[in-house]
Amino acid sequence: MTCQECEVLLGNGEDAREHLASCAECRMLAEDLRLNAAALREMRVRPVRWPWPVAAAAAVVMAIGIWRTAPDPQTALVAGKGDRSLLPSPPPRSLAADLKAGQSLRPVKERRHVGAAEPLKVKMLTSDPDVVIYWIVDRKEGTE
Amino acid sequence: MAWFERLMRVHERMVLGVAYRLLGRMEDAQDAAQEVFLRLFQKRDQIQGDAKPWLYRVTVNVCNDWHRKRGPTADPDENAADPANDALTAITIQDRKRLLAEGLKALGERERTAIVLRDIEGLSTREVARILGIEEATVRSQISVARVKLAKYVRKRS
Repeated sequence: MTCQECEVLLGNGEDAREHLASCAECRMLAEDLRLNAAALREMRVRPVRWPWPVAAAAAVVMAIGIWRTAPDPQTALVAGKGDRSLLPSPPPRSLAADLKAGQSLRPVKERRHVGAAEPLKVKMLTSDPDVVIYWIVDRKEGTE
Repeated sequence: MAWFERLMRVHERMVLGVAYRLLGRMEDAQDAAQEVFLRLFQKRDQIQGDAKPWLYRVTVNVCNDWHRKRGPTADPDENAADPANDALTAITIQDRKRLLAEGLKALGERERTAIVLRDIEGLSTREVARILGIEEATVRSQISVARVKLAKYVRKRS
């Protein structure tokens, strides 16, 4: 068996023991393939379930942050573009950090128009599809 | 609408993760993921049963379109480090992942897609073949070539 043939076998995850016994280069490749396979598996994005206390704490911290900064209600508006406005909540930019940290909980502001005196609703999605946390912040007129 | 929201919630990370691995840039992946869910919304009446294979297929198509619009990726050898060091060097898993992510960008579109679906997403060869609309033997060949290329890429730079 040539090294080229051995590469094909190893790439397919097949046995090339005989050749490996006599070829250090291919042994190295086999080891690299094994380590890469493990690393690639770890590169998969997996949702991580957050415990309830952490989710609740995150909701409280967010709500306090929103309350203190008292943003203009316009900041809660998201202008839709054509059909995109029909989407409830497209994948947010914050997921970039999530992918690195392996987190699954993230805050999503409701993407719909709200009146000046209407309460601001913060929606917290969790990895459990049956669990959604809503945080409603009452807003008084004239605070903006 | 509830059906759509649920699908989005369940598959959002999968779509974004695949798009990120295929495109290599989070900003592009987010745009691609948005495009995927826009298509899902537009075709919501036509999709029956498990939407996952459909989402994989559309994610791959959207990312491939993206690559074509953006032009070919850089030749891996152009950015190659000095390959003088042939010694077996132990690298950390983080370094390996970083090099693999770089190596994925250097692969051809088909090989990259096949390995992302097979080795990262953990789909079977049959599932990958069905999603890509090609023969299982072709998928096996693409994956074999891609794995060896990735291994050589990582070794060269570690």
